Amino acid sequence: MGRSLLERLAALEHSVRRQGPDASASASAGAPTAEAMEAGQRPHEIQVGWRGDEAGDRPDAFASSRPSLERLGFRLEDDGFGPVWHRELRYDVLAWYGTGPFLDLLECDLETLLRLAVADEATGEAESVASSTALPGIQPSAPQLWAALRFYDTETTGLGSGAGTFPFLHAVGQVEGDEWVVHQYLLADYTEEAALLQTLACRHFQPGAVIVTYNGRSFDWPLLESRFTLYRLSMPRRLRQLDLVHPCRRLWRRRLGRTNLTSVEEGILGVHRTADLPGKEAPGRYFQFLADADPLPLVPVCDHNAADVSSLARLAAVVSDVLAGRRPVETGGEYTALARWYGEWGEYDLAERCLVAAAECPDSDWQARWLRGLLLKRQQRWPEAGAVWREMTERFLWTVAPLVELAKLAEHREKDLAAAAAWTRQALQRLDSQEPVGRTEAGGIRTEAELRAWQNAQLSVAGAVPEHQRDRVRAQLLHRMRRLNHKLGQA
Amino acid sequence: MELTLLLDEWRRNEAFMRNVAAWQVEPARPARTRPLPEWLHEEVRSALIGRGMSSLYLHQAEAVEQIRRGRNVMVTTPTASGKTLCYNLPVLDSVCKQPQSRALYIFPTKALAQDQVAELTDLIGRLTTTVHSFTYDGDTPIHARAKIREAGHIVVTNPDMLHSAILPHHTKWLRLFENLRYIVIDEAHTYRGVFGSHVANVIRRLRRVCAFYGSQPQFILSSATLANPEELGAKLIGDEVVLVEESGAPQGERHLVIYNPPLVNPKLGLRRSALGEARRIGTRLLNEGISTIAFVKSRNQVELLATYWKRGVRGGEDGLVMGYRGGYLPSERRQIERGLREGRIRGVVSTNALELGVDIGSLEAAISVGYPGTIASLRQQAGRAGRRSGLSLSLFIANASALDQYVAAHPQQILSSSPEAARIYPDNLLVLVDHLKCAAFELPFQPDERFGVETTKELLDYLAAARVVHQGRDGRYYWMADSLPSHSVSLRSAAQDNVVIVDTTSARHVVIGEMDRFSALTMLHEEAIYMHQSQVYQVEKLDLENGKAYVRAVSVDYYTDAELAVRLQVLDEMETRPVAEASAAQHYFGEVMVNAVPTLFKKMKFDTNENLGWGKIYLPEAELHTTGYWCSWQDRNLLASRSQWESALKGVAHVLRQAASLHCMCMPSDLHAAAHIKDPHTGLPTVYLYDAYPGGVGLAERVHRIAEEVYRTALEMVLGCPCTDGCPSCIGPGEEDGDAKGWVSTLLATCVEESRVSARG
Repeated sequence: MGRSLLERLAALEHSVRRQGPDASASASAGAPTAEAMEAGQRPHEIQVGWRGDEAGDRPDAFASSRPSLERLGFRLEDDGFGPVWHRELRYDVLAWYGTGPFLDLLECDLETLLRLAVADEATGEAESVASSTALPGIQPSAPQLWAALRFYDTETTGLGSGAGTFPFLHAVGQVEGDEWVVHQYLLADYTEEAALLQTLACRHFQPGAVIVTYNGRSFDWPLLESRFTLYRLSMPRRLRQLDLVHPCRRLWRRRLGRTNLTSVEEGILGVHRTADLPGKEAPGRYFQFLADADPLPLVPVCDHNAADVSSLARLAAVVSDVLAGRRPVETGGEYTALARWYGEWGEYDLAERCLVAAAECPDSDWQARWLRGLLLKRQQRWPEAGAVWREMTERFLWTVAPLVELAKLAEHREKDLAAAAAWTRQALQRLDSQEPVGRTEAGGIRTEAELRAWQNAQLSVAGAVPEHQRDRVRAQLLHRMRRLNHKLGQA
Repeated sequence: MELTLLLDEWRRNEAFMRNVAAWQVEPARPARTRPLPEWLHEEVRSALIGRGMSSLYLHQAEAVEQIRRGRNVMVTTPTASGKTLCYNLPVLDSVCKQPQSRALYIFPTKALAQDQVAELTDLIGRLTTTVHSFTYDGDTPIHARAKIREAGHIVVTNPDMLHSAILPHHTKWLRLFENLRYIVIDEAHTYRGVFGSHVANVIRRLRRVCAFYGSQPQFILSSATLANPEELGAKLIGDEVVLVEESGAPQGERHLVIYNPPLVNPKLGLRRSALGEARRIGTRLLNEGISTIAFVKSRNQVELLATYWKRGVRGGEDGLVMGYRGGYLPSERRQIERGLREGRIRGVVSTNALELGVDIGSLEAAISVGYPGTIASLRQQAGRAGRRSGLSLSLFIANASALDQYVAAHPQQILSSSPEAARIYPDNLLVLVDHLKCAAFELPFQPDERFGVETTKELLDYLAAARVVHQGRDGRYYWMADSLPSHSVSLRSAAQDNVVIVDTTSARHVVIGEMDRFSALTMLHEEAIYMHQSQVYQVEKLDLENGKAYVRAVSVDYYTDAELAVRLQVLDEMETRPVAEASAAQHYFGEVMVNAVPTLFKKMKFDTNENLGWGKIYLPEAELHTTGYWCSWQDRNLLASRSQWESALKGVAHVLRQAASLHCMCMPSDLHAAAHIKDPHTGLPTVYLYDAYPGGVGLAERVHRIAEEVYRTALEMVLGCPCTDGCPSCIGPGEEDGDAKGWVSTLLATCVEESRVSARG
């Protein structure tokens, strides 16, 4: 009367309210409608691939997956590592994408942009010598820096970076001659992954290449490293990483609110995707494809992936123009961001000009002026610094830090102890009259960490002293006051 | 006064000795040593000598020799015999000889892990070779993690972290897994029951990942004394282990005293409270200058007894006596531990938090107030007194519960018989399949690969049908879902889809635990008293829909016991056999489905189990598939009336559950009991015991196998109770109706060979 193992398991899983096989079979997204696919063609957007013949017969096993993937423009290729599904989409560099042509990438000031690129952590000297002999390196001359750029994006089976998350679709965009080319590699069966990785590395990630991604340094690239490790392959070496999410965040977070790729595309590049596939549907469609080998549901996934790298190329050109001062910026936030880079690169004149410009913007804020004051202080341009701080104390009635700077200035540079004492007294007054910032507006905040982050964001904009620092600041001010009184008494 | 003199005084005191159930003296044992092995790396040798260790104890020498021979080793020598050196020595030796070699230390809790790193650091500091040892747990800062993954020679972690953070991301741990030489599993006896079954599967996954990277690490386990150390070790690591159990460490003379507080109400079986006796005896010990630790069962009791001692002991209010329990800040606990080691603190009252290997030096006397549930645990508590030299006392004070009274009546159970076995059941289908998924996420499965069971391929096909894995063209099974399977598997709780327990005492709600839905019906219904790490909470709301129970800390002197209207259906009768007296009854083992609706709950006073009142429960029916043991009595004429049968079966179910938990080394709550006067399956009066965990964890199976022993213990528990008609201590709560005690005994006796019962006279 024994029950079978699977009967027992199914009953058990049912009893603890888990989904059985039947319930989850339809979890993945159904096939897209022809309508949705039609709408997938967007005004500003490149036409990717070509549509399969809808009346075509449905394949039913992997054995027949070959012809069907070919309907999406993929071809089976073998560089000696094993067969790999590859397709390429070629566009004349004069083609427009969003508000400009790909050509911009060839004409922008990439040298400035590449200052933001960082060398790969994995690059070891010994290994780099070895690998440089294995692969011909890229050593583009200055006017052709674009030749080293590899715009890279993946579609994955999940969001984690664990060993069971597969990147099933890789896109590498690069300029070849007078064409913008998107190479896509699709994993038609898990078995092919090792071949795919080696082909990808060998064809695109040569030493000297700059990998341009959006959030790739924390997601796509570590995931790729993980895949290489799983096949015990050595990772491509001597690369540089340029993750555009960081400059975009610094430049446009305040202007756009969010800096995911879609927001930046819409707000900066003027690209509006219509009927784009929501990213979270991609895994479901891929799993469906693995099960029934019907490639049609993958069409929007491939489109989405190709569009992502194309956006990256345009975005790189735009960021580069902004950095090089070739593209006008409008907001104090952007000017301030630029000033911070120039400051980091030691170009103080440029930095100051940006900060002056920032202060004149309608959205000008505390931060731009504060940075300018610090910059002037570093250059010991005391009268100008004093003027900035005095303006700040008048404009921002709650701010304390500029008063402290003024007190230091009066005490140590101008040797005016009475003025120093007056600034210090004013600072103490302000410190104690400060309302805790924005208590009432903090709706929707649930955890303490969120609250702290939100408060800090508020404070950095407003230049107020956070509550937890108040005691320390007060103690410092009182100490200064005592010293000044002592000195005044002596005098 | 010295402890010797005090013990002499007690021995001469008749009033004291009347309450002493047993007094055993273990003579002092000298150290047995071996020279440091020849092959030891010079640096390690001088580090040891630098610490004043010019030789090894016998068991240390034996352990390191076996490890050198490539065997997996399990060390079960007593507390403070220097077990940690058994693994630190080979590990450090290997790093000195091969700097790229790595070791992984697994401790059951974070606190222990941190303690170990401190001890290890001292040895490492004496080497010239740089050895990096790091703790990797939930508290490890993100920025430190990359370095640990890359450079940590010794990575100290816990099973949960291994399960959810290390294994799913094994590619980041390339360096560790490629060079992993030793895996150390300390406190292995804590890996029992469902938790142990999970951990065994985590280790299956660990071995799989190691094999992938080409390393074949050796396992070094350490454990408290157990009846089945080899079995537990082998099941945990899936490979044979060599046992090292004979300690060569010196030991002072030890006095083991079992003390049963005097009866105050013989009819009800009421005794003087164990805590009161601990107050009196402990105060005396401390005032005589004898350092003493007491183990009590709840946090409240910690505070209570510590307060008594502080008041009664000279200098007690000035920091000479401290409480110690979970809920204290880590820094505060470290301070107390240091105070104990340095002798500034002479008395401490603790929950079982101090039972595990936290280093507090050695004390002269240890008092266990109430049976901690297992012999191993009791021995660990006793081991806190008298570690290497000098006279020591360990005193067990029984409380009024059936278990305690049984132990007091059968002191041999503690003193000489072997301790309990720790059982795990790694092949529980649900647990296994959960980890099969995690394993598939980590690495694809070969079509002929075996994961614990022979039916691996069938299970993988099942998962493939469920589209959780996908069979590639090469026949291998690949993970195919966009989720991280380890996220939905918790090692420390039962099935998935649990009820999360939320403490709403303070403004900031904190999750303090979880429980499977089936148990939640009886443990987390509204107004239920829920105990967590000895803190008492009351359930304010049970939201089954969203899987949440909201509780609030309360201070009450009762617990709750819910009654379930249970429908049991036997799905598969797997084994059956008659009892000794063949016509009387029959034992069965098989799979059961339990449908249960909780009906009402009773409030029971702590310690005495008095019934203080009751309430109704409104909850939907729950379903549990599990394994069960049952016994049906063939002879309806054993008892006279239906009401007698009713009382008797209920009593039998209660006491069997207690007795079974003693033999299975589990908590009574791990086993559920039910009784049917006319069972639908057998048509006879029947009592069931079934695993509280879906799919079963081998408890019922074991009860079936050793039923005679369980019944004998149960019968002795009942007959040994001083009450006349049956009391909450022995046959559980019930209406007072005639000779329930006699009826229960009659039924139990049918399953026991008459000659072998030894009731207390």
